[in-house]
Amino acid sequence: MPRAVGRTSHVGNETSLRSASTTAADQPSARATGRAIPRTSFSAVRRLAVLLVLLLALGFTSLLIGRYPISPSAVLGILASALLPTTSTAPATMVTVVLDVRVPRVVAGVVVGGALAAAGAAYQSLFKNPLASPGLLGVTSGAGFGAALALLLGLPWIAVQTSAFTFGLLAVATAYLVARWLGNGSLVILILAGVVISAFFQALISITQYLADPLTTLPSITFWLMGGLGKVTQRDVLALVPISVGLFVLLALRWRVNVLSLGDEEAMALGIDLTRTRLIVVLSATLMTAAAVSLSGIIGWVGLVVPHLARAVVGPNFPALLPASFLLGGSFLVAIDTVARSATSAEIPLGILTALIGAPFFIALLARARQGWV
Amino acid sequence: MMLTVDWLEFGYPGRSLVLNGISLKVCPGETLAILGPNGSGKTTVLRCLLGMNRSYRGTIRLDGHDLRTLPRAEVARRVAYVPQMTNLVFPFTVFDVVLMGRTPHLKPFGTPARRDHELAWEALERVGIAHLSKHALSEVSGGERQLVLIARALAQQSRYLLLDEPTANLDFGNQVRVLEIIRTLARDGFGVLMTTHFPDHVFLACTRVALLKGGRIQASGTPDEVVSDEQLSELYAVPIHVASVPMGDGRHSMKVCLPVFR
Repeated sequence: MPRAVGRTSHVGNETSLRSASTTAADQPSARATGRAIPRTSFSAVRRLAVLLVLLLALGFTSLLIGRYPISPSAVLGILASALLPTTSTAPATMVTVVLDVRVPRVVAGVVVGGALAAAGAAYQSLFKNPLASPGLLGVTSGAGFGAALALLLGLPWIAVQTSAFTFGLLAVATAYLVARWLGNGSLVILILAGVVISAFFQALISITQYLADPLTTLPSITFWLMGGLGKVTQRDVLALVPISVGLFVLLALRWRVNVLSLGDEEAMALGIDLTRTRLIVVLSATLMTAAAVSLSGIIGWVGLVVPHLARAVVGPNFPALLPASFLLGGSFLVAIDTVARSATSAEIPLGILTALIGAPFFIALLARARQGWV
Repeated sequence: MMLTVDWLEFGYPGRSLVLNGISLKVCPGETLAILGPNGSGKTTVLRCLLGMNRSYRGTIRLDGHDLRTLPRAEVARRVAYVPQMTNLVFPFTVFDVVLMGRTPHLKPFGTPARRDHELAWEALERVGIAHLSKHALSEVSGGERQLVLIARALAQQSRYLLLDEPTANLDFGNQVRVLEIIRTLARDGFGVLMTTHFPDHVFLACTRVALLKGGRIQASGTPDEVVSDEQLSELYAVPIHVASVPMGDGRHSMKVCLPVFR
């Protein structure tokens, strides 16, 4: 990443958020000893707060925009009536549009974007690879096949989601077991196993597309693979469970994930149980990604690009990088989804837009970051 | 209190032994050098001592505890490792990296607290690079990077330091600086074990030396006893002469190793 970032942004965001919040109390004593111990300035926390405000602002703005524009005050009134014991004066259609259509969709955008970006950040630290993305070990291809299979069999939507989630987990489990069987815990073997399993499930997806009825089933498979939040309803709140579990575990392990980015040998010499820590990180990231994908279909680029953006904002330390990635990923996807559903009369599939925006963005990032890791 | 290695044997399945009956001992306050040609097993010894190669035969004891029975974090609290180089993909700062030395002292889900920051800062001051704390590790020079890794090992507060060729890839001045720090650390009570490709450095910074060849100890003892024409020539299979050079007013002398060309 760029030098400027190294200089300005992490004066001390090496610490956790927890210790950052105690900084105020510590400062007098640091001054008393006369030493400039580099401590977490408010910098990391402040930057995370800005990202949170950005997310809330984008989420609120997204509630206003659509084929049926609603004024900020009306949206506020409707939200208040839903949360507080007040009654809204807004017409019933407006209430339905906000509460039943837009709110679930914005929440899904935050959760899916956040989960993909957080999982991507975890994988980039774990694999010490700036090009790692959440789909690295085959979770998205597996989920894609699961969804395509259920669509081919004409199963209801809930079954499509369950099948996507299950096959996503299954693909990663297979890659992990193959790597265990082949190699003695080598990360390269694990990545290669992931690539192979991804290719395998891609082929299975192609088979379902080949077999699908070109007039009815094939379009629905194709649209699923392009991703979108159009089918999200309030019922999908269930997907929050695996995503929260994964996020919580990654948060608990935030320092250990940080140490993993030193490399196997040094992490081990610092007392980290590599096999176990890696397994837990892979499991958490996979749970999050599989749940996100089962909500939205395949949305590329978020998990690859957003962690880099987050690193430019808060630095490479995972305790700050993880929440920053989640917040930025949520903002990114909500913004893009708002464009996707309101730019044209027909909805643009999300996966297309994230790639259209993500690719040039990534090139710009590479140009800035050349001296960092290329 | 010491680190002892008894009849250490290690090999990869289906291949001949890399280490074949190694016995070593490091006490706090002394510096043991392992000298040996490429492929003699120096790094493998370090990996065994760090608990990375667990399928060895023989015994390794840390202050009387069998290495195999100690949990990983406990090993890390007793033995710190200074790798030859580190390659970080992401732009961590010097301070970030040194702070990671506190990892074995943290609770499973913990992050460094105020005390850990202070210890990391002290470690940086001790090796004299506190002014670099905010720089990205990739921005500092090779010599400074070696000092960062030493500082990280100090932040780890382990009694034993294992250094893998600490002076490799450094310019002459930085070699001297690193050797001087190693001497100071041994004086301060650390037990230091370092591998090296420079026999001269054994005279400069080490109290004892073991010559490792083909996975066996060829000789061990004090530098004056062991590092001789015969032993070095046999170790490296080229003729080598160990000369004594008068220093300063002539009352001291230093030994240096020179190749003999035919």
